[in-house]
Amino acid sequence: MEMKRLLLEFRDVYLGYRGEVVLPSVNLLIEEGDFIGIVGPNGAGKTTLLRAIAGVLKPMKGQVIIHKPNLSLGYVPQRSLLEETYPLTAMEVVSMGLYKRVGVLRSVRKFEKKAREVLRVVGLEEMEKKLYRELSGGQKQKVLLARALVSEPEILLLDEPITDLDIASQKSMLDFLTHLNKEKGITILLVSHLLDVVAERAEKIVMLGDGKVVSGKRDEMLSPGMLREFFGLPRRGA
Amino acid sequence: MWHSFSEAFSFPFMRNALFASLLIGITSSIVGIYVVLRRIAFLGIGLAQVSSLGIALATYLGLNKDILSLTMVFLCLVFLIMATRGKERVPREALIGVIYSFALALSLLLLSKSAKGEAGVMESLFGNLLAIHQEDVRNLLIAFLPILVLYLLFSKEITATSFDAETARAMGLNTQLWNFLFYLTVGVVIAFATRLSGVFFSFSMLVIPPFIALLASRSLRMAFVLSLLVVIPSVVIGLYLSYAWDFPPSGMIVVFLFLFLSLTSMRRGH
Ligand SMILES: Nc1ncnc2c1ncn2[C@@H]1O[C@H](COP(=O)(O)OP(=O)(O)OP(=O)(O)O)[C@@H](O)[C@H]1O
Ligand SMILES: [Mg+2]
Repeated sequence: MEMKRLLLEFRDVYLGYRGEVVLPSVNLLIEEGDFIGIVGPNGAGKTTLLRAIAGVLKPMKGQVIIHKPNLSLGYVPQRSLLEETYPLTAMEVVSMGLYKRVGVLRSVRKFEKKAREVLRVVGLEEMEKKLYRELSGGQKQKVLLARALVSEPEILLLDEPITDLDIASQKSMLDFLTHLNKEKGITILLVSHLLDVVAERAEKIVMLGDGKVVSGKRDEMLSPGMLREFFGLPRRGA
Repeated sequence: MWHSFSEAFSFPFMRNALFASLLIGITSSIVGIYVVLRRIAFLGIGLAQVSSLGIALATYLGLNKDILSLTMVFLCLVFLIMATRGKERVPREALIGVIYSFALALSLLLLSKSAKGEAGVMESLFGNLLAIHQEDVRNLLIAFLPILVLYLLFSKEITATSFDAETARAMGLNTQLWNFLFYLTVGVVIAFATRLSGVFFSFSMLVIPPFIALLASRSLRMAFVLSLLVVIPSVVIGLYLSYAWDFPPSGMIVVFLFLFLSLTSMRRGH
């Protein structure tokens, strides 16, 4: 087996909000080309972990080490956390993915060709002038994916990207992510509480629950003992 | 009686009123788009009242009005940010309401002891656009021009930070800086506008043109353009008619804004 390049490392990292720990002692390795599924029940801390990986949430303790300088990442937030009053067109939302690249004083207009191309890739070429807030749930999800992809990231972080999709769209979204991972070599971290869906695609799995974080290869993680511990019924105290 | 436009604006006090309200209207409506989108319109009237309290206090103590009202607005912003850091037990909106009432109560007490008395209370609420000096217009220009330039050059950073701070930050934008600059500009706009035009006018300019523009817009770019297209004629016509018919100008301008609002809602209701 060839050695994969280490991109990101969590060493005994504590995550939480305002002094309250949500995830204690997280240890995690992310290697180039990984397809990692992050699973766990509601409130387990999946979004929290993804925020820390994205660098949005600073650790309370421990080290997050970025092994590749200038690692570019694309982030697809949990859609339900987004404000929907803005009169932004699909094109305007996708172009936001380029803001950092375009630079501070320049117009994004020149980059609209690129944004249009990505909208086509996710199957929304007809929708560029439509308002984001007037799209369907699945279409919004695709716009957010397009925004993350438009800057051609090396690592893609997705928070519940398939939860709102119908079965056919779920499959096409997952096929697309697999394609990005296999053909373009993009590292993918996929958060979902749909364990079976994640297990089908991800090679590594991070399981969260009850303040515990365990990660490993898919087959080790899908043992009956693990599943009972993180998803099984009855759960302790529940 | 219809006076001609050129006659109305041949008077220096009318020209000062025109330039000042245009500056206030244009800057407030640009900043106000984000204020409305971020659902903090209430903050506008709260800060305006705090600013007004600062002015009353400065008058009472014989201090510089601009400096004291700016300071109080910023202290209030800092307090609001600190107070909402912890777990939100009560929505922040309500706290802004409390601050508004408290500032209004204090202003009332202070102004009742001032030389102007009740007239002072009226002036702090409704302002007096016709008492603006050329020097005020110059100061306004110095304060507001950098804000307009900031929003012109960095609208994409400010938009991304408002719409989805988390993703913007993940992409490497300094969202804390842009948030800070946003609140700073809100504070400056409200403090200066309130000092020259009163609580009512500065709040109206911050919220009504953006509200109308956002109702009718199908892109953010369009919202900015519409906001200006609404505010500029309202100011010019409102001022002119207030002169022609002898009405208070700020009231006339805001009535004109409502005219635009009904036009827009009628068009939408179609
Ligand atoms: N901004 C925040 N401030 C304070 N506590 C938070 C915040 N965000 C999340 N939490 C807490 O952290 C814990 C984990 O939340 P998180 O959103 O990471 O869960 P999740 O696994 O993504 O859940 P879901 O499946 O519902 O999206 C929860 O107990 C939540 O109350
Ligand atoms: Mg979540």
